[in-house]
Amino acid sequence: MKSNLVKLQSSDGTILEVPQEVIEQSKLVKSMLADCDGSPNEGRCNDGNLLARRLVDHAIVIPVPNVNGPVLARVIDYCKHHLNDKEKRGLASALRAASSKPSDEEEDAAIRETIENITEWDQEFLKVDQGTLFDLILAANYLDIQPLLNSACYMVANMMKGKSVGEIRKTFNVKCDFTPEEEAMVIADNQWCEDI
Amino acid sequence: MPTIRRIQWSRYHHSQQQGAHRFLPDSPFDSSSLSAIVESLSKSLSSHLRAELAGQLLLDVPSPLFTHVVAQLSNLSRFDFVSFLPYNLVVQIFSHLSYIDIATKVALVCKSWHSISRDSMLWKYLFYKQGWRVDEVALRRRVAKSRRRRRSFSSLMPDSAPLQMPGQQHHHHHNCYYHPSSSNPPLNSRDSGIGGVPSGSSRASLSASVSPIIGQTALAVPASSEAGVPPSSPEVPSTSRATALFVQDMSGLSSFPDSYPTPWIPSIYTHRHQPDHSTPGIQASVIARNSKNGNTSTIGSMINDSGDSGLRRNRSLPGSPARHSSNSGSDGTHSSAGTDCLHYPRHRHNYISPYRDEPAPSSIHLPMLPSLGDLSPSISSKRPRRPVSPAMLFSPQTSGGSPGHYHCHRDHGPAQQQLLRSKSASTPGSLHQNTPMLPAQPPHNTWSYYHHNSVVSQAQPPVIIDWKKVFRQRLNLARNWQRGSFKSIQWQRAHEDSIYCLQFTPDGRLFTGGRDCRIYMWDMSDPGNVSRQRSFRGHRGSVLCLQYEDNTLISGSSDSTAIVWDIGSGRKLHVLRHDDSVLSLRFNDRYLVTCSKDQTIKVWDRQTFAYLKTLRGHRIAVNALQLVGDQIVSASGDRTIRLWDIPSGECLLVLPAFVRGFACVDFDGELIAAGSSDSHVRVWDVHTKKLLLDLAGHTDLVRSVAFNQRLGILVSGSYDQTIKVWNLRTGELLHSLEGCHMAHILKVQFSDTKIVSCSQDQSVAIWDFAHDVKYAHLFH
Repeated sequence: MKSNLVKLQSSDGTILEVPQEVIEQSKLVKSMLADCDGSPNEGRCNDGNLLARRLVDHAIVIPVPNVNGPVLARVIDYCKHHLNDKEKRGLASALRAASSKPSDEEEDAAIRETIENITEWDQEFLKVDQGTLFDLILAANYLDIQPLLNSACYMVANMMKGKSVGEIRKTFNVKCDFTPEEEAMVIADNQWCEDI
Repeated sequence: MPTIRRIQWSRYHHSQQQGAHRFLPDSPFDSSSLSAIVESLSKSLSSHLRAELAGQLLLDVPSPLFTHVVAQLSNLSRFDFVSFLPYNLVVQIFSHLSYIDIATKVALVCKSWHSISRDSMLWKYLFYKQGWRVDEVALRRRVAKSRRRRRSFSSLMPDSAPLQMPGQQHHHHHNCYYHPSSSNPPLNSRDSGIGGVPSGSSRASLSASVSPIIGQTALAVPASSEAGVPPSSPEVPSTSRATALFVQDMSGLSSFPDSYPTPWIPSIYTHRHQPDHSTPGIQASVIARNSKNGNTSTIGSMINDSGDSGLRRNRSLPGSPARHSSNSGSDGTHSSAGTDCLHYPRHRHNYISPYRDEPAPSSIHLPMLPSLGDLSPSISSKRPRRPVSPAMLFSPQTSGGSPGHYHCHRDHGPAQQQLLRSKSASTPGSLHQNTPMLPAQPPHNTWSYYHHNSVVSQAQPPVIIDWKKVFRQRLNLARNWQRGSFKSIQWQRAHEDSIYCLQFTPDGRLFTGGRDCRIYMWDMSDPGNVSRQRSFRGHRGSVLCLQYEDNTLISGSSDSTAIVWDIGSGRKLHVLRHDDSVLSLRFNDRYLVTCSKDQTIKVWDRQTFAYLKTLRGHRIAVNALQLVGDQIVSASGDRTIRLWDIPSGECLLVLPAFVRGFACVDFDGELIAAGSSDSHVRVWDVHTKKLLLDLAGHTDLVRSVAFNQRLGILVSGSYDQTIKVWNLRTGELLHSLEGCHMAHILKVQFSDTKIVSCSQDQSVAIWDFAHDVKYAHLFH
């Protein structure tokens, strides 16, 4: 199918043009487009091409009011890079379905898959300042792009791994508001985790 | 995040004013004019210019102050994400950490982090991430039962009261985004809004994840509770103080009920259609707010044991579907509950700057059903422009519960959609008036909550599982496996002769077959009191193998037959023949495969038990086989292991021969484990054909082997009278279990909680690793 352009308007008014199949990695946008597609109210027809043309011809824009321009651009970069992932994923899930495993194991595999899916490119892509990273998390959550959300959350968690409590506080600019007694209480409360 | 920065900056500014004046004694500006300047500059300058200006200004700042500014700036680029990300996202971030990190680090960072470190949903995810499983339906039932019995919360509820910390109130003042004195409409606490979403609708969908049956019962609850307890009932009980305490206590529970291990997978955008609506939800969120306890998070969710609360959380970004989905369920009135619960924290409100110009979150937006018109900037000026995913407006098939209770927006014709929309436009006031002024009536709201809760527990208790506790119990079990801490129960003379085969099921049935030609069915759900329930007689030789699944029992015998039994009557349904002893058999939903001393493997149709084909290749008796999908792995005395494809009948793989023959095999689609008469157990990767492990330790033929990758354990039983437990990943010998069987061990099977073995000495033994673990039977 020829790629149709979709216009996205960010919170600061920037308008970004994206090929439809790129931004359809956002389930939010995808379902919006799909819904536009099916509504008889507007006299539209179900043909994807027709809809997209209408979108373009009439300069109709999808507002993304939660996401500012630079972040939206980054999200689009991410989607562009991961455009072909879908086929891979589809294949993988088809394989899984064929192997007729019990569903809980499938679930398990899905969890493992999402964690393994964080590629080096993703890690590089997400090596950004905290502000941008959290913006990306919020954008991915809003636009419903699970792989990006998952990778970004993983990156935040990575900032905590191997760090002491003090270092974590420092990393995220958190002030400790425990009294020493409370702290001892929390430690005692979670003792069970450590004793083998 | 400009707003956050500005707030923090101004805080810095005030604290540093005096210092600044020291450096600039003859400054023409005082602090008040400074903020005015900043404001006007930030309005008139683009962000690029502002950055430029700041840089220029800093150039000639004296170095001590400059260093300070730089330090402050770097602080501003580090964010306590817990305070402004939606709850579900924080949980998702933490879910990438290990449980030890959560409990020993995250919990200690500060109070708000601590309260999230107790989050039940987080622990549920960690639980599943460990590869553990639990029968959730039974667990809920169990918790509900123990709760009814105690007339309070069960032991799976956290026992320790939440940390009642001095200063907590203040802390959460700050962190819960709610100031009673504020002139703004009260914003919901992050915790209740995002965490629990205690709206009436989610409350009612409580049962969706449990079971349809329970669901229907529970659905009636909101109505009855509301009828019984008018929320504005004048007789505010004098016990309000006590109940308030009670609620405060309970508010510490980190107990998100949820049915999804990966809570952020948005799959249910549904709500219940609920004729009788708002009150429970309002009550719930009210409590959450009034108990100014830090851990208010769970109040809402305590009331809704709904699988989709997590999913709602997922959607609770401003303007994101959660609001809409819970609002949209209702015609007008109900919205108050939904919106009320879905406020987002003040920080968030500020954080997402685009919303500053929009109406306060307490005003109601019914969802704008997406249409091209709504997306168009030209007509979007007056309406809230938040796009709504259509997905969140109708319920996909994936949702649990009975579909009949879902209100599906797809069903609305466009006309009805219009109607909904116009309704929302025409009645904003009436919607708003249902939103209670929260600080006004804390006691009786609390009371209603309490009462509401007790009514609920009479009708159908909303079951709250503290997954942290479940996790802890399961961790004890895992440690028992690690340490080799078990209790063994053995019963002698289970058969009149050697016991060749056994199988137990999660629900406590045990089948054994022996040289006395009999098969017995036992009830071992109480290991201390195992009773024989039924016997199956018909074989004329030793029963060598059996499998029970889906109410079907099939056994193979040295009389060269395999028999399909009727479980109810104990009679033979089908008799299948080989030319010699049937040494092993397995079946799944499509095939039954049998292998025999006659060197063949036969494939039968699982439904009709018609003969399909024979697989030939082994040159000596085929001792054992395993079936996964349509692949068979067989182990033979001819020193080979073969992988077969049933549809084509081809042998896909022959693992290289070893010095001795193989007696047993296990296969899960990826790994093959086989025990040999050279007393080794070997494990291969079926894809790479590599030998992964060669486990040496037994001193005689290994007669039975079983492994589970999820648990990372391999168990082998040998003629040397021991059962050995191995680490499947490292090959380390964990334990050698001996002392029960005084003869060859002929079969072992294990589950998360136990190993069951049988022997030539006519006894069956249970090695119970969950002897000191609560709710052990739910882990199977």
